[in-house]
Amino acid sequence: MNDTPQPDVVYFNLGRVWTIALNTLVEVTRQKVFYFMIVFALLMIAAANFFSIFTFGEEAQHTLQLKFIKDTGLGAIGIFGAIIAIVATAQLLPAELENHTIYTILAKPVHRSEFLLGKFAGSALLLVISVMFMGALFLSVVFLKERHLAATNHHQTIELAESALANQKDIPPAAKEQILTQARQKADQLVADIHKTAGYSGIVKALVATLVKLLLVAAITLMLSTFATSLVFTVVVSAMLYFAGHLEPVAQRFYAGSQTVAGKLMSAIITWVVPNLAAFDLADDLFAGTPLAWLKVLKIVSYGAFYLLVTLTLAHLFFRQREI
Amino acid sequence: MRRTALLIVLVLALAAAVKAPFEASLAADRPALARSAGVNIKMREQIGQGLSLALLGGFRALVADLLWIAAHGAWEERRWFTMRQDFEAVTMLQPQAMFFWDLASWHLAWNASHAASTDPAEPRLAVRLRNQRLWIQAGRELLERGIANNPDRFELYEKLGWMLKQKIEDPCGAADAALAAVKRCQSWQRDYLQRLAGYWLEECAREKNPARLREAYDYWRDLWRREYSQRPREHWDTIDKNLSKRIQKLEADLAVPESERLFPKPQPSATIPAKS
Amino acid sequence: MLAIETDGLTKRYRLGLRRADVLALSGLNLRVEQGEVYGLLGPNGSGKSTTLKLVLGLIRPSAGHAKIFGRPCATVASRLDVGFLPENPYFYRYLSGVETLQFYGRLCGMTGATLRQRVEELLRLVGLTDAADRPLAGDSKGMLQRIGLAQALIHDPRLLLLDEPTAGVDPIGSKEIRDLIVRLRGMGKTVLLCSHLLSQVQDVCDRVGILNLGRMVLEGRVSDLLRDQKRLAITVENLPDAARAQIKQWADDWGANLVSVEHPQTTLEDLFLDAVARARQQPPNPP
Ligand SMILES: Nc1ncnc2c1ncn2[C@@H]1O[C@H](COP(=O)(O)OP(=O)(O)OP(=O)(O)O)[C@@H](O)[C@H]1O
Ligand SMILES: [Mg+2]
Repeated sequence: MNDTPQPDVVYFNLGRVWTIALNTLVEVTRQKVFYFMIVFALLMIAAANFFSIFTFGEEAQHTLQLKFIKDTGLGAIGIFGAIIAIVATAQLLPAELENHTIYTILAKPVHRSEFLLGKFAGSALLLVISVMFMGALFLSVVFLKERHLAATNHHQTIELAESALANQKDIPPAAKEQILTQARQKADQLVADIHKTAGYSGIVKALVATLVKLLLVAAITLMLSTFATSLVFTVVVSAMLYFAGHLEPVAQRFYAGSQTVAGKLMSAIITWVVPNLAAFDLADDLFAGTPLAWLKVLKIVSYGAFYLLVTLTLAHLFFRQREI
Repeated sequence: MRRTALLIVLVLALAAAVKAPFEASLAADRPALARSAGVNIKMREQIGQGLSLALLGGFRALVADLLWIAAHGAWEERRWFTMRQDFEAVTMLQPQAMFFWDLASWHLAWNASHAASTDPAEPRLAVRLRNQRLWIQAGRELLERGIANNPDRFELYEKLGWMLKQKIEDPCGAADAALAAVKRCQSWQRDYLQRLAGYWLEECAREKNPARLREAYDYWRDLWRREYSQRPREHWDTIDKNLSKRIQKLEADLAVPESERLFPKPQPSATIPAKS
Repeated sequence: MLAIETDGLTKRYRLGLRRADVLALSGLNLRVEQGEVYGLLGPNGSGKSTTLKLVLGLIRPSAGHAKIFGRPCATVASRLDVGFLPENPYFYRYLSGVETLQFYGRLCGMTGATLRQRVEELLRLVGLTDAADRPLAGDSKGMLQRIGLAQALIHDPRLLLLDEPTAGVDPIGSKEIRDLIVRLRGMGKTVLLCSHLLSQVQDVCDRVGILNLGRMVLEGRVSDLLRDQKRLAITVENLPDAARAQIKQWADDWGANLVSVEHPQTTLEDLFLDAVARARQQPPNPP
């Protein structure tokens, strides 16, 4: 190696980013995040078995049962994901500084941007794996519930018709057959309706949007940790920004009506700087019966990508001049 | 150092500049995200929604579900006031779910009001009737709040129409609500809503407000021209046949000049072309 | 070309609005030739680690600049040819010795068989072959120090920056590390090492510089510095025992055969203490 002359410029290299990312992934999986997965699994099982049959608006029953599972699943994935994103990401840089490993890494021909992106990518990989795992579990529970609801509803509808016929002896066979055919049609319709309510593509869309949101939350946390002096600061401010991001639409409205200078300033910051995290919550649309087209989901994803770029650029600018 | 600060400001400025148009475009797909989405709602309600959003985060919808189940328990035990409180909370937590506004307002205006009108503990008829009206009013207010929260959705306007028609006996209000629903509906329900609006409008004109008879006629005539006259005759179902009769009756009642009628009386000499 | 070259390298740490700044390093002009072992000495807080961090671009100078093999330290390319052992090194607790070295190797663009071979070679070099496959979590200070050395050497750099390489290592381990440094010099490497374990530095360094309060107070070849100019040692031959007591005054008169007059050596330790004491007596000129 000594005899060949070294190049004068070292270019940004994705291989190094990947090396750091994989190492970071190993690091974050050693934190106790996977306990969340167990809690999630228990939650889903509980949600699936929560309802006994009940009639509060008869036709809405299966809608509500499926909604309950979906709300539990999406809610838990969102919250657990956010906790994982914030807690796992917040300690990446402090741990590197504390262990002095950052000295040895940055003393190698490694760009700071490669290091930072690698750290982010490691945390992002963890989030992808977690959301995929929880999402798969979630979809299976919805699937099982759908099958169960479809079977019972189908069975009940036909049984109802049969028992009605059994009580009336003097019906001609042709009419009997017609009534049964109608009942079967109705049952099939019900099954199709339940399948539609389950809304798998909507769930997948909501999961994709949630994942993008979680990546953004992780990026924001990483950015904060590039200049934070304590872990607590990073975690607290990240959590605050997480809430502020969800409050962003409300803040925008408040901005229009606020009178005080402090109120105006606060909401102005939220309106102009903080990304609208509520835009990534597709659960409401899912349930309002208006699942978004993939193209529109893509637009939301690109909104997330845009903010991801902004956040990581800021993180790089802070980290570039950080004294280590 | 100074250059970095400058770059940071630059990136933030760029982000801020792109933010508004980007979000406006997202809001075009999902009206609930629009800046104007909350203008119809009272400030107090907005803050409540915002706070619940912040405090419960992703579990907001789940808490709404649990409260809904609590409301169900209250309904079973006929604790109407508790049920109403639960409904208020549920709709505040998930104002975008049509399902909740719809069913909650229905329970208030139909079930709770009926229970009040037949309350065995209240011997005075006048009081029972007043209580019935109050429950219907409560249902209506809830539904109207739902509309304020989802001004672009047609479903709740339709429900409001039914409520005005059946529980408040206001076909004119019902007609206006149905017209508002038609304006917002692009799906297959539009066909049905258009006719619903016409029936209620005609009913309004004939029973309450004769001044609107012309409006009802114009509405049917436009609808006929736009939607039904194009269809091949054999595809006309009973509704459309019924519709042509309605229009004919309105033309007679309003004494529309023969030349302007959709269904002019056959003129023996004029309509049969002469053979050459 | 010099291995390390600094010009007026200065570092001032800002501690916030209320407190005074710390001048950790002031106007350092360091020149390290290729192939030499240079020892940077100084009491705690004298700016040794600061110098290394500046040279590696981990922190930025308040004034002046530094170069490695002619490349400015702000560039990533300047680190192509450097290996660094920080003070008190720790590594990822969950990686074994082999995994740790592979990680650093990949960062330097090494892969596959080349990397595996190099890792094995280094483990043998630093004497860690037994412990290669267990996680570093339970490793002793000496082990960590050896892994640190190995990772610094992974990409076979021409220059090594070692911050207290023998701190916390037992005498035997310390001796082994010093032997390793000597061996590295034999391989043509340049080494800059920081220490305050003077007797150890004495054995391995060609040149030393002594820092105090961020300033270089003394610099030179070890053999020159240790030559005491005030006294003479005279080695005489065939001197009768009786004349011994008077030998200093009367050597010539006695007509003894003068074989050699040599400069006797003190210890580096004395020199160090003396230099620091003197520097403390005369307060440094304000910069
Ligand atoms: N990040 C920092 N912020 C503020 N002051 C610092 C920082 N790092 C070092 N210093 C101060 O700079 C001075 C030089 O520190 P440095 O670590 O370079 O000393 P050293 O010679 O390596 O000491 P030691 O032998 O203890 O390792 C010390 O006074 C130290 O307190
Ligand atoms: Mg030090």
